[in-house]
Amino acid sequence: MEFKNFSDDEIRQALTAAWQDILEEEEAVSLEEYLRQYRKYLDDPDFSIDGVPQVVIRAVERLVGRQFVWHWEPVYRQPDGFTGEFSFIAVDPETQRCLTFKEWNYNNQVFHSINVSVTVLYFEDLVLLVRKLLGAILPALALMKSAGR
Amino acid sequence: MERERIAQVLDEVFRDEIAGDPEASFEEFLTDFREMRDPETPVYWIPDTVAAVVDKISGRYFGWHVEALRDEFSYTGEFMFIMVDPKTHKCLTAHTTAGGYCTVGVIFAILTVQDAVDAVQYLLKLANREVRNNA
Repeated sequence: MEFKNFSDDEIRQALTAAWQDILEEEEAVSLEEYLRQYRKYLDDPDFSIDGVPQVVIRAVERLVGRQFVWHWEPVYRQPDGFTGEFSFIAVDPETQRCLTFKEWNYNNQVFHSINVSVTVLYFEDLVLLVRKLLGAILPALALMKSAGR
Repeated sequence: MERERIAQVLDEVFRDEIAGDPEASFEEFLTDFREMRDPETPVYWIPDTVAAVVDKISGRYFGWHVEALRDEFSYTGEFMFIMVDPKTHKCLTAHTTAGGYCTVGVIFAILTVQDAVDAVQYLLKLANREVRNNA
């Protein structure tokens, strides 16, 4: 069950390249500048926060070399509203296997979670989020490969 | 399971496991949500109840992610459910839409107990299909 361990630099490069992919020509804004605006207008419904999930998904898919089916959502906490936390679920389109599924034991009780979530405010938060997603997706893919699925 | 019995289990689970109040009623909660659309309402109690009832009736604990959909102003009464089989990790709600778009969740409008029963029946069908596929 071998899988590549990406360095933080590789993840940063993938994020920057992914941002270039999704940039529209008229938006000559760097990812860092987008994140500055994002922090400033976090709770402004007129500001599109979609740049964060788009760049994260594109970066993960670039690094893994495959496309997945995704569900992402901003997490709203009452009464604070949107705090920058995003939740992601990745599914393999061929097998429909949930790649972000996690099971753990606490006090002899089994718990499941099917999403990965991180609060994103700065560039390094994006790096952490991509790392967490890779940490879920790559072992799941390796397991599927070893099981011949 | 008959619809009437599912409605009963919805009420029991809502009262005992979700609201934790012996006086609580799922039907009254839904009526309040439908009529008041109070932003302070713990709206996630609705999909949490549905998911817990599917677990209870099927006798299994699935991996769940639920989302209360919102428009510009408030919750719409629509809920997205993503359901994962903990044994196979298969996303049971993943499907391709009529437009050819692949999605991982199913959406139900739940404004009445009967809507909730419809959601439970649909999700149980997915659970039972997976059991048959793995038999």
